[in-house]
Amino acid sequence: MWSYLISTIELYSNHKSFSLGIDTLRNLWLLLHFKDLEIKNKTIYYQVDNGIRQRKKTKHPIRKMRKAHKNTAELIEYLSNKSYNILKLELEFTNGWKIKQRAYSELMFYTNSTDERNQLILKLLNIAGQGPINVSKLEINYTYYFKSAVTLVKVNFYDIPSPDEFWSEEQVAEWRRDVEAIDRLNEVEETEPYVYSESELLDMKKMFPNWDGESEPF
Amino acid sequence: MYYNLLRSIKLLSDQESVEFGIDNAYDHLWLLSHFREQKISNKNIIYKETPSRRAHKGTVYKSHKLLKPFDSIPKLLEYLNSKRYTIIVYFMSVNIVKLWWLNFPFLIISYVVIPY
Repeated sequence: MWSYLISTIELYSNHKSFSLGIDTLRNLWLLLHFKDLEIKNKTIYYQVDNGIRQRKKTKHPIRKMRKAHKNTAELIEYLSNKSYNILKLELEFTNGWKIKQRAYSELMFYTNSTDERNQLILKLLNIAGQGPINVSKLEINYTYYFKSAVTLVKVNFYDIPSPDEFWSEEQVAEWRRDVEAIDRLNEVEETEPYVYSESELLDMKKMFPNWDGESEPF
Repeated sequence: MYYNLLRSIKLLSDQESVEFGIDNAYDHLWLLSHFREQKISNKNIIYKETPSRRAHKGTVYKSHKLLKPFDSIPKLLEYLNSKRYTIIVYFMSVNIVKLWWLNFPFLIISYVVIPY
C-alpha cells in the first residue's frame, strides 16, 4: 500500500539533479509548488482517456501539446478540465530548473547548484510530510526507498551505482561490462548443483524410496 | 484525471472542523504524515486485502477491522506501507485532531480537544 507520497530518492552524478519516486498519474498537482517559476520551454505528449466511458477498442492518437502556458498553475488549470493521460512531460523554467516525468513513476528535478538541489529535496519532503533526511549522506546514483517517513533503505541490486544521463559513453560501457560480469557470476552460482543436507536426504529417501540419491528426484 | 489534490473545501457548522474533498483519498494516505507528532487516542480502520493481478475475478476478500494497536501515525503508516491493504473506512482521533475518512471521497479534519 502506498503510505508515502515519495517512495524513492536518487541523486544524480552532476550533483545538481535528483529523482523522486512519485505516482505522477495521481500527483501531478505537485507541480503547483513551482507556480512562481516561468515556463521557458515544454514538451508534453498526451492521449485522451475517457476512463470507464471509453470503449475498449477506442484508441485515441498521441498528440503533442502546442498550447502555451506561462506557469504550472495555468498548465494544471488547463489540464484539470481535460481527460488527458500525460505520457511525456518535460518543463524548463526561466531560472534554469527542469522537471521531467518518467514512466508515471518518477519525477526528475534539475537545478543549478548542489545547494538548490538540497533545499528543493527538503522542501518536497516537507510537502509530503516526510523527512527531514541528511542529503549529504546519500550516495550518488543509488536509489533509496522510504521504509518510513524518515528512514531510507539503499536499493542495492547489482552492488554498483546505476548510470544516469550525465555519465559519459565510456562510463556507461564500463557499467554494462560490470553488469554482464555480475550476471554471468550469478548464472554460474545458480547452475551449481545443490548439496542436500543429511536430514534433507533422509526426508527425500522417505518420500522417494527408489531414488538413488544422486540424480534429481523430480 | 487528478490534477488537483483538494477538490473542495467545506467549513462545518461546529466552527472547528473542515472537510476536504479528495479524489481517490486512499491513494493519499500520506497526508496523515502531517499529523505524525500527534498521538493516536482512538482508531477505527476497516480494510480489505487488495486483490493481486493473478487473483480470480470472482475472488471476494473479507473486510477486517485493524485491531493491532498503534500509538503514533508514523508507526501506523510504516505498518500499512508493508501490507497489500485497501482501506475502506477509517476514523481516527489523535490528541487534538479527529480524522474521518469515509468511503474515500472526503477527509474531514476536526480540530477539537479530545479527552483521553
